Amino acid sequence: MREVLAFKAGMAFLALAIWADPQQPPPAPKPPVKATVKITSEDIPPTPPYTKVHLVGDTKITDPDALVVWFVTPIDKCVTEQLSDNECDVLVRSDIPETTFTYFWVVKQKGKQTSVTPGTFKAGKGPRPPPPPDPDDPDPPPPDPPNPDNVKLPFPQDGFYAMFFYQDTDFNSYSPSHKAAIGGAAVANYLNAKATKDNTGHPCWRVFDTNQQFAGSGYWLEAHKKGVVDHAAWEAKNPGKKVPWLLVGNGKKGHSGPVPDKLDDTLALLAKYGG
Amino acid sequence: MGRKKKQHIINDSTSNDVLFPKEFGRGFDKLQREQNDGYIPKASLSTDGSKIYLPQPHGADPVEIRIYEESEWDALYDEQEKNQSSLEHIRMRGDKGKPIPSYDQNGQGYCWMYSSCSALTASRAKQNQPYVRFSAHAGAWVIKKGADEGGWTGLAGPFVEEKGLPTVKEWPEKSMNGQTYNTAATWEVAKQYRPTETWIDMRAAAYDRTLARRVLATLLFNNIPCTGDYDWWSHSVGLLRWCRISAGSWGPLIWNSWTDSFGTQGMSKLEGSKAEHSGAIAFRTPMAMAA
Repeated sequence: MREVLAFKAGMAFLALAIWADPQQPPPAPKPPVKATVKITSEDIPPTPPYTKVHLVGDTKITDPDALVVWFVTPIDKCVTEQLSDNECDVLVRSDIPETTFTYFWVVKQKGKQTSVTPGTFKAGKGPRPPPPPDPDDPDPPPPDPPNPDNVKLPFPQDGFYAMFFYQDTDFNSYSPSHKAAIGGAAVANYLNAKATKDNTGHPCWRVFDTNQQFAGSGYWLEAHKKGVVDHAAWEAKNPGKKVPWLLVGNGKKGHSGPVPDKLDDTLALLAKYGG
Repeated sequence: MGRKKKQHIINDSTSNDVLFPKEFGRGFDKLQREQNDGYIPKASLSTDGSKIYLPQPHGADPVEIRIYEESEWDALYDEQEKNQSSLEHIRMRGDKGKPIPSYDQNGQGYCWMYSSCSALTASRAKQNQPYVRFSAHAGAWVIKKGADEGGWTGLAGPFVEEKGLPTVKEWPEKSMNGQTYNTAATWEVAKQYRPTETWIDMRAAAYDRTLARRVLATLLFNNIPCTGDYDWWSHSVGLLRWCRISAGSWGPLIWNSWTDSFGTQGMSKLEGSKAEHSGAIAFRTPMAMAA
């Protein structure tokens, strides 16, 4: 898994162990930072439904050497983004069963953990029930069939776009087919020919890093965000497996999932959206 | 490299294990970067030289990268040939399916910055980001305060990581007119081309920042572009690939900054004692435009 998530997983485990183990209480009898945490949440439409929980600590950290890190467990059911020392967003799929999440607001100073502020919040509403039957319409149309692809389009704009991303520190563990997909000529030549061209004529496909940083805002960033969420959810269900990720779409339909095991399947998947 | 250089002789009999730097690396985590005032010289090698450890902040388990055994190199090289997937291949189709042109340092002593330019260009090509031509003179001019002097890749790398590089639109290629082009606006543009993840041994002095041979081979087999300083040549170049010269003989494919007329479209293989580098850094991930 990508480095940051691995780090957070390790630290969340550590924080949980310290918090839960009566033999190892948090080491500081008098934490230098008193904290309460304000929690707000909002549903993010349309699909898949997400709830964004915004955690805000109430005390500014004035020590320039202090390190403040937020952790939220269970880590396989959420994605966190620390916005500042005092703020952290947590993204939870709202169609999971209601789940109690535990957060830790950890302050470290001078190399020691000096404060752990645990707390909980609940998120997840379970699957949405079907709408009640309309008594005025005895023969309502059947509901839309489930979309085997991801319901939120990775590239909602017109045109054929594709993005791979992978963690370069995992590259050694990828199969030859995966390496060929993210760097080989077959995929590159296909996408050079088929992908939408930008205003300079450059084909709109990319191979980014999992930790990619972007300048500005736009569709590559938005697709990458979606991919990282989907990727984290997939890895939580497939522990120990490391795969590169593929997002592809043409404005009408799209896909976000692991790069297929076989190179031919990757090319077929791209052709499904790019023709 | 260039005209002022420190002699740093590599003994051919030195083993790989000795050549491994005990620690190398720099920033891969923004949070950690901020907490450490920009410098994260913490990555290390296992004692048997089989893994690179990338430690996470505050004691979490480090990420490991296994270093390829030499016995694996043939299969890796053959795989790259079969799939046309090395950085050499990517460079040759990186500009809308056509080769990305080589740089041209124009006879000045700025090769140590041009090598970073080549590596940064290759890292963008790997991501299929649009080809932009960087102005190496810009970075070297600022570091040397306008003087035409030699340097090392370990001097250029940290500067490029912090400031980025402007393109030739902001600072014309090979221009020494810093009085005109060295502006805040130029460097604001440069930021968007910054590499955000590199491996540079920041513990060492600029002239001693290097990567061991097997580390370099591993990074290049993993399509992570590098740079190399070569004392015998008094020159610094981009590195695109770890190549089989002949059975059992290996060396880097360099991307020179002497135009496409050098070697094969600006590239050449180094072998034997000429393949021994004295300095090296790696460019992992460049910044990307969001749209």
